[in-house]
Amino acid sequence: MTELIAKGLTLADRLVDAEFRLSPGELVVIVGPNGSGKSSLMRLLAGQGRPDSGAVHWGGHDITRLSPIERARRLAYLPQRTEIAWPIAVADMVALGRFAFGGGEVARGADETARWLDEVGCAALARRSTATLSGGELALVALARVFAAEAPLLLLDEPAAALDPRRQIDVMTRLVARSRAGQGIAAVLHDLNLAAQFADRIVWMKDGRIVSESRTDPSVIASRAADVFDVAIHVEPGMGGHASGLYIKR
Amino acid sequence: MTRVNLLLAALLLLAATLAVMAGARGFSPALLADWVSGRDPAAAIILFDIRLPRIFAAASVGAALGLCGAGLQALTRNPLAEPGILGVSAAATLGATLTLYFGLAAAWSWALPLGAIGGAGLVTALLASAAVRTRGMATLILIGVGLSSLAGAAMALILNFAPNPFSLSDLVNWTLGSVANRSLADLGLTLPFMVAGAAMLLTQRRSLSLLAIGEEAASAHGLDFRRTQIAVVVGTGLATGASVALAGAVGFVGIVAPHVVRPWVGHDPGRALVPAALAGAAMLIVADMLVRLLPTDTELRLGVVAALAGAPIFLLIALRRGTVRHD
Repeated sequence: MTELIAKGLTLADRLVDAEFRLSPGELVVIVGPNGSGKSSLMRLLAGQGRPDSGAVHWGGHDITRLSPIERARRLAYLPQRTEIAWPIAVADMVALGRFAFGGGEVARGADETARWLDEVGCAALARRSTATLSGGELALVALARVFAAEAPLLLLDEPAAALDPRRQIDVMTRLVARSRAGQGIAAVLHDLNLAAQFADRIVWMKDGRIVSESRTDPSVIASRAADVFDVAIHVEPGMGGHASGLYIKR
Repeated sequence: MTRVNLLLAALLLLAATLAVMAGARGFSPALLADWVSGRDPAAAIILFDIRLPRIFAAASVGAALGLCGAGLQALTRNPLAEPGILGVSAAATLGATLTLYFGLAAAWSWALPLGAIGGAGLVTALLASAAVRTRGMATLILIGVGLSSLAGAAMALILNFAPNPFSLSDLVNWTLGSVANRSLADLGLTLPFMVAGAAMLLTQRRSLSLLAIGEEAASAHGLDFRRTQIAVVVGTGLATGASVALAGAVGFVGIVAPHVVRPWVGHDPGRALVPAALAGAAMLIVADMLVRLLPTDTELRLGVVAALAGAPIFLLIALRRGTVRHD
């Protein structure tokens, strides 16, 4: 298993000298205000577009120099916005996640997608048309598609933003389970509560910069949130260094 | 999916069989019987020199246009895209009429197909170079509309300067679209280009399926977008150019054929390619058969029938688009 290492990533007006590292087996959560460069960072980490300076390396390879197939086998990326141009079936959409593994795999995926749909709690939707899904359901199916790639590293841009509270917890629980099984996962989240409860490590961004990295101790979260979001929060300490919950004070 | 292809192939065969039996006096198996028994030597000539080349021409043009339409729609993720919309057909027609206007086509038989393919190739190259620089597909369609208008204006200029009424009617005939009086030699000149273009498009089947989830997500899953784009655009240029060289401008097959087969393949754009080609072939065979059977004084042109039937369907699709989520 190999790390993903970003050094000095800079992108005009969006990202300044970002350093980032993602190792197998960890769940890293990236938080920051709107427009702080989270999605730009994720896109560059996924090899989508080139930085003005700096580079992303995976096992000694520059990620932008790998062929699309080679890159897709090493890391899977969920963009923030889920697009679907044609009303294809849900199972077919999930099967597209097997693209990087060859022709037969995509066809076979159509029968085997049940396992990934089950993982996001959408097994019942398999035969539905994607045009009939709600925004949250579509987001879950897109996540199942990214799971289906079974790449060693996952980069997820707001996997939980469109979901109800129950589904948010289910998805985060799945991400924890996958990271414990060895996948390295980086996820952008807007919900500090989820970040505090599930992350191994939190990366705080502001104005295109990574301002700090922290563990999830309650006191650290409270002080970083004050710096980065300009809000006062109260954190309830919980088991094993994680917070059990937090609320934002007016 | 293979079941859909088999069904469509059977339909195509049925349409072709009917078309073989269709003549000036309606449907009749008499000619076939004459040929089989060898009673009438003229029967073989009518079948093999007149009817079959015409049916093959209609089928190959329909298949090429159906396939190109399905490919362009998958690439642009827009159900209204087709060679006509992107200006490829117009440029091919312009290339063909230029060779007619300057008398090249009369002097050298390869001039007309090469002129049409050259026109189509030029526009697809322009589209491809624009596509490499711009990532948005709406821009590509707008560029295509602009090129289409430009080619139309150049056509009007040629008609304006046509030296005499005879050459004017020659040029107009070309723009109407027809597969009448096509020989096996005409087919031989154009079919290789259609096959090459179709082969390029078909190599992109899986990539076009993946593109349904949008450029960024598809590329993250391993799509080489640039390669797919170039293969589809060049394949379309070859196949459309060759089909215009064979039959002139025949519109709307490229929109209607993919639209008809899409629900049968679960709306998967990659799986729609082959069925769209088969459906396009069957549609043009039937349309050409109608052209032959309808009792008109002047010969009715295939392109006119295709447009009269296709344009309302195009409008229906455009009006109903609001009910499906696109982006």
